[in-house]
Amino acid sequence: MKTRKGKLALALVFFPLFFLIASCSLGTASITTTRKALLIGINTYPTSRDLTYPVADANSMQALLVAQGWDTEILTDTQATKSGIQAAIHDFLGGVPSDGTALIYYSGHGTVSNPIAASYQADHGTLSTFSGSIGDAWLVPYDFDTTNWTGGISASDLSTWFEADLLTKNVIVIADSCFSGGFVPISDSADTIGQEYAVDSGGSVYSSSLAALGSFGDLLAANAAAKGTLSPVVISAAGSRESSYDGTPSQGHGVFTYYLLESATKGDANGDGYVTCTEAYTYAAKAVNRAWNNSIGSSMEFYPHISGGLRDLALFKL
Amino acid sequence: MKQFSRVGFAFSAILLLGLGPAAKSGAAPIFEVEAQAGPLFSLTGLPGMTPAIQSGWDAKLSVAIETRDVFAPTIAATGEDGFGAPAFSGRLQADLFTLGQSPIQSDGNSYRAWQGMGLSLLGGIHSPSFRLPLAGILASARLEAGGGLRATKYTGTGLVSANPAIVGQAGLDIHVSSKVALGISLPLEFAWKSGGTALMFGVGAVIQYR
Repeated sequence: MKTRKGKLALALVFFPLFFLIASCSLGTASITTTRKALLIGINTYPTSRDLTYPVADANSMQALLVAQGWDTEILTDTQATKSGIQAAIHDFLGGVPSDGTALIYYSGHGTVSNPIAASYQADHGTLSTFSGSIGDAWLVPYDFDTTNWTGGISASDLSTWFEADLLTKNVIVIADSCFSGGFVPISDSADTIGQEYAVDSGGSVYSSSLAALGSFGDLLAANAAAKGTLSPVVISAAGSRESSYDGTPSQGHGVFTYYLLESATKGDANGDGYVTCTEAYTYAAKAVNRAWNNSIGSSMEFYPHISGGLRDLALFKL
Repeated sequence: MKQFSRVGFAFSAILLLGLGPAAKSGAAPIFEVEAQAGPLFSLTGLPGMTPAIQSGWDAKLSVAIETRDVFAPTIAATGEDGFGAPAFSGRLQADLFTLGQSPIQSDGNSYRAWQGMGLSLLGGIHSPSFRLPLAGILASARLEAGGGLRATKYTGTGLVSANPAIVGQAGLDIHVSSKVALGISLPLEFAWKSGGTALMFGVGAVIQYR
């Protein structure tokens, strides 16, 4: 009897251990589904200040993704009108099957729907002293009407187009533009990184996290309200109240995109051979903060943001 | 949340009820301080996504109060540690844990790495001492369950969130002296997180001072 009891005790201890060890051996799978990327880069605008590197940003992103097996389409300058972008989402990304991945990368101007706020930002370089609502964040297509302040692409526009045209829920949106944080839904979370980093950065992420815990009840309510639906993973170069910038000539890209591209080779934090959106974001955000924010004046500081939720998507492969 | 508050209230009430008889009969409750650490795994799932395993580690620090009067207020001391009846235990536990990103699935999806801290209140039973088969070492077993609140952060981001959880653990304590026990614990947790669920399980090495 004693021996049987001993065996039973050993089994009770070692069975769960064996199960746990077996669980660890679950490996990373190869991505076998269709992956399509729409790249948009706008240097020249008929009625706005020209930019230097967005087309180079889109070209480099395209080259990188093509090398990794993505099917891509690129829209630059005059091709990147609002209707042109909508049509490409419908015609090109609409062909991604339900288990595939669709990516939209945008580099160009961004603005806000309140023209007074946009004008204030252009004049003062900051919105921290602007009183009143800044409105929604907009991507600025080539044919944006600066006279009537119409023709921008809002998060709501993108959401409507995705709902209408995309079969897949595996969607990645990356925006390297001013005010692009307005495209980032935080879902179940509170973002401890301020939407205007020069003003809100305050302390460390740790102290910000502790401060966020002051609203623990709100966080529990947000968690309870989260439906777990697979919404797009969104990465923005900047907060909803700040600008992003063209990089230096030696970088040859926008500051954020320069480090996003670099993350494809240096951002694999867990060594599984893939750089997920979160890993790429983490690498690029830290690099922007280290290389740009720590050397530039505080009025030009900015910090990237990423959407909330448990889900992540693979972006690059080593 | 209302439901969770009721669970918390119920365990607080059990704790107080447990202390009451001990005070009346004069039997002193036993106080414990316990540290626990080990690997942690989570079977994480979201609607529309294949569930996957995330692995990491956790550490727990807890204080507990144990009384035998709840189950057997009149039983004479007969066990090897002086008690022959099972004991009720109430435990306040602080948790610190981290989980890595899940493996990439064939459609490119994965579950984000996250880390967190939390507080749990557990109640349960602690067996009388017994001799382990084979080795003959003095030991006792315990089973506890309760509820907890977690504050979490998606690793590498500034995104913080919070979630409720049901927690439990089974343990085997080996008494190395009258005051100190070493043991093994199997913690289990079910969390509602971000519209999905996380069934967390692990193995912990335990050191206990009473």
